[in-house]
Amino acid sequence: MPKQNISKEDKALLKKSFWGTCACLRTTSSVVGQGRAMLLSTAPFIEKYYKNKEDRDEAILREASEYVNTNQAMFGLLAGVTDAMEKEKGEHGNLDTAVISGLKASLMGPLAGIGDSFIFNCLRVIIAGISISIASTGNIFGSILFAILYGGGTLAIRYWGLVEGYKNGTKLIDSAFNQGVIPLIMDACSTLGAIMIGALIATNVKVTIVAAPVIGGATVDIQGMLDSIMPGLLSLVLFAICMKALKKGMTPIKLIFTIMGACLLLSLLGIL
Amino acid sequence: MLTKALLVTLSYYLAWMLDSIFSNQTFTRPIVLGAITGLLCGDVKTGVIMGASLEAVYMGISGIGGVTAADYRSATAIGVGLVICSGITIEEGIALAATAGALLVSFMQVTVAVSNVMEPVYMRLAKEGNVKKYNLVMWLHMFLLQHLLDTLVVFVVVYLGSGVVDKLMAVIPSWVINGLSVSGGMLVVVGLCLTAQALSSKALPFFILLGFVLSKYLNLPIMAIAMIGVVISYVLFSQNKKINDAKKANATVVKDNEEDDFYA
Repeated sequence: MPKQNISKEDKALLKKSFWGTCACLRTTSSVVGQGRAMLLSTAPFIEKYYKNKEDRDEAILREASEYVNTNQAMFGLLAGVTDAMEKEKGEHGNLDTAVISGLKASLMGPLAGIGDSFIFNCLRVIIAGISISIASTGNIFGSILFAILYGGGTLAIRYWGLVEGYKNGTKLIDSAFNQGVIPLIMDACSTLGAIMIGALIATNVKVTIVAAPVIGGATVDIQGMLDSIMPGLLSLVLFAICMKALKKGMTPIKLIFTIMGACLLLSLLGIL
Repeated sequence: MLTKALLVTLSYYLAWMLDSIFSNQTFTRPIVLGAITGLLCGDVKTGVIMGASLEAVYMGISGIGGVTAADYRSATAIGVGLVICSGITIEEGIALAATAGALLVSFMQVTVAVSNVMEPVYMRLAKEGNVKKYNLVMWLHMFLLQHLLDTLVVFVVVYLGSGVVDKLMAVIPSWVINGLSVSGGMLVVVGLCLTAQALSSKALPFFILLGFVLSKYLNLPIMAIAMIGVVISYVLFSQNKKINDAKKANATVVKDNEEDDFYA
């Protein structure tokens, strides 16, 4: 399957295929997941390389009815590999359908994992962090920056994946896993993500105690005292408590309502 | 009021359509949707500020594994819409948005159900091998059907809500309003926790502390912190890679020896 040079014809087909990958979150369903988009992505190659109408219809139905679910940016790589396989089968007919279906099914899980940890939880957190800090003053450039960097970035990754996946077939993904660097990269990304989260806690989580009880004639400025120990101490404490609650199995929705309830109560008592 | 509510609804629909065309989960993110809603309703600044806050709140909420904890999209449109339409403060708006997002998440199931109902139509077209028609049906489905209900819900909530919110604000005691405002500043923590949970590093708490210190004590801008983070994670990565390679080399040596013994 390895193809090093892409012909002009195939380049045009890949462009059409890219528009197909842009359907990957358009209308998903519980039955086929992103299968509809996979049909649109592979259709240019199926229609071009399957000579026999019966075989072509069989391939179209097969692609449309197989379940696919992966990260949107990584969808390109999966579609690229599938394109290469469909072309091979259409041209030479020497590829079993089980290989196409099996490879697709076995690739989409790892690709979803890679995409979610690299792109969704690392790249996006960094881009969002920078954009939020600009936008929080009301500067629309923050929103535009996010749309360009994250929106454009994931499209670029998807296109790159489509071309590389088509060129190298499965070689690319195999080599990354065989070298065993994937977990290490995930670790590095997590480190970076954690630092960004720490910075976002410092700038965005606001917990301020307004209560200033009068004890023995002197006003006690509780917040001032806490600040002199460590500024933003309560934000960190709140973060730690919420982490613990989530770890114990509390749902995010429950956590949101608990925080709101607690705020109302503390506000009634005049503490917050 | 009707025009404003319609504009909020339009911005929600527009963002969804843009997201559906490119499938890149960008235009319905709060930071972008908030700006779009603000732009259409004539108050960009409020929209962008609220979008930024809500982006932090919903940072960790995603479609990973198909589980969605809150509908951040309608929450953003409704929150920004109510702030612009009924003149409540931004913090109160965020608290209202969080409530709406938690309650409206069930409507997302309806969207999926609509798509599931359409499945037989798609299957029939695929059986005929008619990709052109298949594509066309998908576009029509996206424009006319997919987000019909949730768009309608956003409209009803903003249209009725802005009137209701105005009246309520006059009646509600000040501690409730203060409590809601304060919780708006704290809800961010939920999103950050969820993001932190998705990360996988043993030293996670220490790096979170590092980021906190860099920002709070040293007052570094977020860009500088990101660059420091890149340096640290690169150094860690290359160290770990060395260890990993050494381990691998050892493992192969052992393997070779065993094989030698076997054949000897």
